[in-house]
Amino acid sequence: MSTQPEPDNRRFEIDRRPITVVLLARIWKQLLLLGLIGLLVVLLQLTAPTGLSPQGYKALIIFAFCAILWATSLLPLAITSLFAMALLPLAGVMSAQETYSYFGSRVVFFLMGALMLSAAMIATGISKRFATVVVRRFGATPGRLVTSVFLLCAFGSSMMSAHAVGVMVLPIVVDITRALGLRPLRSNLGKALCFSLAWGCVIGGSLTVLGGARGPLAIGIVEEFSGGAQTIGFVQYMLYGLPMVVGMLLVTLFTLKVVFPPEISDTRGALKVLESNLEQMGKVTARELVVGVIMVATVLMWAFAGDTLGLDTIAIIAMSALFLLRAVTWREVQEEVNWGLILMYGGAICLSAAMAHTGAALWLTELVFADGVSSPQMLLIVIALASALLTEFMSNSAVVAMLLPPTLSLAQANGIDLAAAAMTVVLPSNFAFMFPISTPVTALAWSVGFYTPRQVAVTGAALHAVGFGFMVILITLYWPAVGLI
Amino acid sequence: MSFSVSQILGNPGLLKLELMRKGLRIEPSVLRSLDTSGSGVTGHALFGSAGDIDISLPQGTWVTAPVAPRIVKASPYRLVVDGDQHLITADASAAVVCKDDEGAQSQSEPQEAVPRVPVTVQPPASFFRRSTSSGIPLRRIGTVHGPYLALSPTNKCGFLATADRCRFCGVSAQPQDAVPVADIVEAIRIAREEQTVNMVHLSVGYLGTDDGGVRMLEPYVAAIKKHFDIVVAVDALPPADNGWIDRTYGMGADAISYNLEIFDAQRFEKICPGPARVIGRERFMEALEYATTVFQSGGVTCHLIVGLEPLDSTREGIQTLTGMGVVPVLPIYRPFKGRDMRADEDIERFEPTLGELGSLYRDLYRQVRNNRLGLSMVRDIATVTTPLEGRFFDGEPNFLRSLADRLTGTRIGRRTSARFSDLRRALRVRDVTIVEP
Repeated sequence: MSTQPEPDNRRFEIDRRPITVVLLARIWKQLLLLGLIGLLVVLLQLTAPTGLSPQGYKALIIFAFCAILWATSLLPLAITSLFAMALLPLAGVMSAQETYSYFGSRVVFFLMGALMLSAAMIATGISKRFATVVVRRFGATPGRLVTSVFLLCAFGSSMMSAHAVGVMVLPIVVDITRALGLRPLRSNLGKALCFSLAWGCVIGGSLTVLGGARGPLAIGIVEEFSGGAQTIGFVQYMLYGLPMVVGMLLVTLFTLKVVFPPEISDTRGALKVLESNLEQMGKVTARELVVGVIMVATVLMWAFAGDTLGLDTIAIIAMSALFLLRAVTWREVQEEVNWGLILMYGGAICLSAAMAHTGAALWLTELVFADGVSSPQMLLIVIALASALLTEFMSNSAVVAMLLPPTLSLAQANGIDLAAAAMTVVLPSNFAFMFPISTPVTALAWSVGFYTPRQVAVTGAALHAVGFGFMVILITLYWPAVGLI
Repeated sequence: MSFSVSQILGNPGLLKLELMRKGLRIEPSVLRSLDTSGSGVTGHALFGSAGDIDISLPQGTWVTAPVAPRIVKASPYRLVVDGDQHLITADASAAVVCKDDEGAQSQSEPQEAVPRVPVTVQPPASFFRRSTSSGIPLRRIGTVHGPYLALSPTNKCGFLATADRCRFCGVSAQPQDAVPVADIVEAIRIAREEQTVNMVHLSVGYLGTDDGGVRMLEPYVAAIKKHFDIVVAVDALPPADNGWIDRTYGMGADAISYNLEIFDAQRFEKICPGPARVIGRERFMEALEYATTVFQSGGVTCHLIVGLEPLDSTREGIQTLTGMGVVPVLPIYRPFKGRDMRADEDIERFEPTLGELGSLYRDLYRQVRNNRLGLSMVRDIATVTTPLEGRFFDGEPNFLRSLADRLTGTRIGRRTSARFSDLRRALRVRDVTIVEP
């Protein structure tokens, strides 16, 4: 028998509050969860309201239950989704066979492929090399340094998860701030660089369907809702949000330059550090090269052959090619991919299908918007506002999972294109500018220590308003102009 | 104050005190029928070199009574066998008149009126004759008396071979290597095979470090907690820094003893010169007070030896300690493992009478209750009258309280108590160790 040696500097903190307070502080989530489950059981026994089938009523109750869990994170998002999948057959909403078949949605496989490609880029180091090269190449002045970090993050997060881009670029930003001797909470350049990192990632993530998992989720829900009759293509997705993304990039870049004028003019110290980092990385490896080529080819395929071959099929072929050419190992992929995200999406798609097929989503939206909306455009603006507000307090994926199913029903009832309705929810769900906790990248950038939560809130609120303004322009001018609504 | 034999036999608290002080006579034929072969081994025989046996008296009261004929020949108490049952009674010719130590006489009782108290005799465990798989004799590691198991992973103490040695201490001055953790776990397993052990007491002496021996005990406590649902008490010297007290609790100890031994400051310096000089009485008191903010109520204890200072001083100690949240434990001075202070002329002794002892333990019980301190951590100890046993000197007990005391003393009650103690720790303790990259 052996016991694990404990570190010699082991330290404990003792919570001396009354034990009932300590206990409540530790288990309030479990108690709340138990209370919610109890409420769920009681509500499931009640009679459905007029106009709603018993299955629809139960689907609605389960949906509300999951929405609360997603919003409060009482359970991990993925577990909530799996829980929903178990509850649907248990409550008699759908058969188990039908429920679990939704997990085989094409979008789940597209998401898996995209995440594996992203994992390969991180594991081989090509993403870090690319970021370092870009910043070193274009960062000759403080202003250009900020621009290059900002655009790099925006571009990166349009190709892979914003969180992954944030993690990749963060060490570069830290190296730059240290090399230039920027003082935390004082330096304007430090602030500008950190905000560039956070906001670049957030805004860029709206450009393509690869910029976050909410895009694939929305496509999956649209496909399930329409019974496969409608989807959103790779290019179509880009076109829907392009003016807003470009506009926000320009406004934000301008804001960064005006609000945070750099206090220094010489960036040679930072460039020297980046140079040294590149030297340490050595020459481009064969693995990096293969991953780079596959990534470019895949994006081109998604753009030009996505509608015919399917985003999912292309993703799986790309994923297979990575392994065929030994560019990545299974262990690397296993470690880098967020598998919980895939589980979350499978369950959310299943739940939204239940809402749609039982008529619950339509009933709910008619109830909420029965008299208050004068036109389809106003309806979309109201939905966009709800999405934009909710995303500051909960994950953007949870916003989409919650808001999209009833929105699609409403859109169908009002003759609005399902894709437009989906983008009305998806695009504002990315406006997590105001709080460090809103998205992982905001928290990452804040952790460097150049700005306070108050500064994030003030500047974030302004950006949020700008973003919503662009959203209104999209809905009222751009989408009608290009015939989307 | 005087007590009749019937009063003594009818009160487990009084009988325990009497048996510990005077011993128990056992007919040779009865003695032979008990397996007492381990009773004289070092470690078990706390009372000098005489053999002892552990007896469970009524109301779950454990006592370790000397039985060696030369020690107990004057004792009025004897063990008799009636069929399969063991009983304790008093010898009519010797004890019809039970004299209080102050000399007061009570009324004589006829022999037939002397009650016979049914008891359970627990012969000395084979624990003392066995060794661990690695060959370490268990008697070297510790001692077991009924439900109470005391273990010393090391006998090292920086005071032993010096003039700083505690005057009552009988531990060998020859230091031995610390016992492997696996052997300690094995020792507990062996003890639990034949005894209802529900508490492990780990003790450590002065190791010359600031941590009060916490680092040394940590792997032992962790291993015990990993393998057994059992209460673990640590008996150590106060560490230099209170952070070590947090760590003692965090690592798994359910109770802590910083034994001042003597409350009177001058006598403390004289009888415990090492702890007085190196640690200081003030630090003892500080550490005890701080520990009460960390451990559960009743989980912080302090021994005050009765008989080495005036009873008023002991009483003052009881009042001060219970006021701080510390449960005093009052062992009566006995020669310990062969070390007899009675030969030390410079040490004044204050041998209390049975009446004084009864009054002292009653006061202890009342003070502990008045300060709402837990009693479950220090109970079922055969070698000392525990604070809970002070209830036997405090008149008729409250029925509900008595029921609760009994329930918490059952095997399942003790196991539950250990589980609750672990739960409390899980709720209150947060490991904030900074892991160096």
